[in-house]
Amino acid sequence: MLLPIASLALAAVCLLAFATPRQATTLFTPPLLPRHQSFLRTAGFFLLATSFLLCCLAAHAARMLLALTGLLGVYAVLIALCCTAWMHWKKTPSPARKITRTDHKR
Amino acid sequence: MKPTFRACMAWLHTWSGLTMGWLLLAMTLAGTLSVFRPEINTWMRPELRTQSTVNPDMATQTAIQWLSVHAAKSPTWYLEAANARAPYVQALWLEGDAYQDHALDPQTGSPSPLRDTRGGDFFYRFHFELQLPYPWGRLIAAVAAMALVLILLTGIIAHKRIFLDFFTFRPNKGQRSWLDAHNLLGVAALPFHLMIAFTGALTLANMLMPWGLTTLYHQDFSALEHDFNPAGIERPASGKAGTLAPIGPVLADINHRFAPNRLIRLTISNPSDAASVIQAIAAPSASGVGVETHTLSYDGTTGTLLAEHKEARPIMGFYRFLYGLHVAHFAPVFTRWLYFLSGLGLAGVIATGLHLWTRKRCQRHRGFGFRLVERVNVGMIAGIPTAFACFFLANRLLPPSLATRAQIEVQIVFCVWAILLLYAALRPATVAWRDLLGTAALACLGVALLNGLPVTPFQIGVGVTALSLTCLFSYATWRMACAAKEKS
Repeated sequence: MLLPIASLALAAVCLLAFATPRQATTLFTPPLLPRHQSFLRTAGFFLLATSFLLCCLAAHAARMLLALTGLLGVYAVLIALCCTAWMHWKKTPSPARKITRTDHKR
Repeated sequence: MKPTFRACMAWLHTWSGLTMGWLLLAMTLAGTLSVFRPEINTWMRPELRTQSTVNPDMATQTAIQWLSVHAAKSPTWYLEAANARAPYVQALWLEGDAYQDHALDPQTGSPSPLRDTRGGDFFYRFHFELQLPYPWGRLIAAVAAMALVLILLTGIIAHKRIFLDFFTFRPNKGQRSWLDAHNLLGVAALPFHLMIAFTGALTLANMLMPWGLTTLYHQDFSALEHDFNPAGIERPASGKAGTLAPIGPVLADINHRFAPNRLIRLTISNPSDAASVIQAIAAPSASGVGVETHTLSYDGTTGTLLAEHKEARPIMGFYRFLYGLHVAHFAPVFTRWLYFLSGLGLAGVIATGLHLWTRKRCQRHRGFGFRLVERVNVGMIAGIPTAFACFFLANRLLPPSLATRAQIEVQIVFCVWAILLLYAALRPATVAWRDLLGTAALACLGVALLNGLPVTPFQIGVGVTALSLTCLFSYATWRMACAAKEKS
């Protein structure tokens, strides 16, 4: 039971991360439109609510809720680090681009 | 201009965080390690690894046989039953004027085959007693727990863009990066932080507010104990010699009544007297969160059941639920790791918060206060993990048969901590950061190496954690070394 809930929660946190105003403007080119952001946010909150509901319906509800809350924290930190890595990769020119620039100078 | 409410909360967050931060960091790290208290206890007794699976009832019986011979005069024996996480009996008894606290071998019942160590109990006790005599350690821990609740609440109010910055971490931007790390770690595990702070404060609340109990019970603590545990029977020694009833049938009856839960604690009062009492407490239920709620009392000489109490009072159930949330005895291995990671996150929040205080003020005039905070920060943030890692190293490096070994292990922790604090006080901050973080990396690497080839799941956990911390501290050392070079 924990695995499907954990997967739902991961999807929810990813959607919420992409729908955060800062991430929506910095991660995507062109930036996500406000209506896309609100759609992603709604979907994220829906998945989050579903995962909490499934926990409440599980056999050991209190334990499942605790595990889910802890897991969401770990996901949030990991996704924030992934966003940072993505931004770093986006800003650093790739070797292919460097070669093109050098060629252009010549 | 009149300061706003948010500015007032930010001020309170900053200064309460600074005054309590060092203590909270030590408590948090010790508490985080206590999540794996039984596993650390087992790791620190490698002699146990050679033994096959342990039968908890057999282990309890052999422990009682050994105590009957070697601790017959003790007024009470306190036994923690063996289980899958800790395959030995932990016993506490009075010998002369001093309490003896030893792990008893499950095969022989004797403490001699196992090395003398405090193990995970050191971290557990230090977490709320701070190695100070009663009531001072608990009182200080209670104040710190209350302060943590205040710091978290004021931090939430002071944090202006809690949702805008939710998934944001911008590295290599100086103070901004430290603030991002502080916010990210704080907000991501905020429910855990609030829960652990609130339940911690509640656990020690009677240290700060004892008046309810003293007014209601008028210092009669046996009446209080009886209300807490109605099946607990206190019988004074009769003065007549008595022999304990065969413990096997008593254990069988205990297991039958506790099923599907199991025995966790056994207390035997007046074991060599005719008025002996055996009290048994059940482990947390297989599905709930709260701590033990089922108690049985037997006549020690006849083995007949005297009293049984299954907790059904709502307020006691609520208290035990909150206490259970804090100590996480219920938690399966996955949840225990989540507790551990969230605990490390809280330690990270405190450490980054303390470091931020100096980063914000490093461009201004550096007075005595600034220099003091800067140096103590180095000694605490890098010193505590190193000192705790040295506890693990001492456990493996000291000879197993050394006299007063357990005390020496603990003394090593505080000696290392004091030396590192002194070093941080004497050296320039950047150099001290570099050197102490390097020492922390080496200490963690030492733990990973002495862990040996991982065989058990917990050994794999120790290895992975120690190596991860080695990488983290090595990276921090490299960054500090670059900063020190730039300065020079």
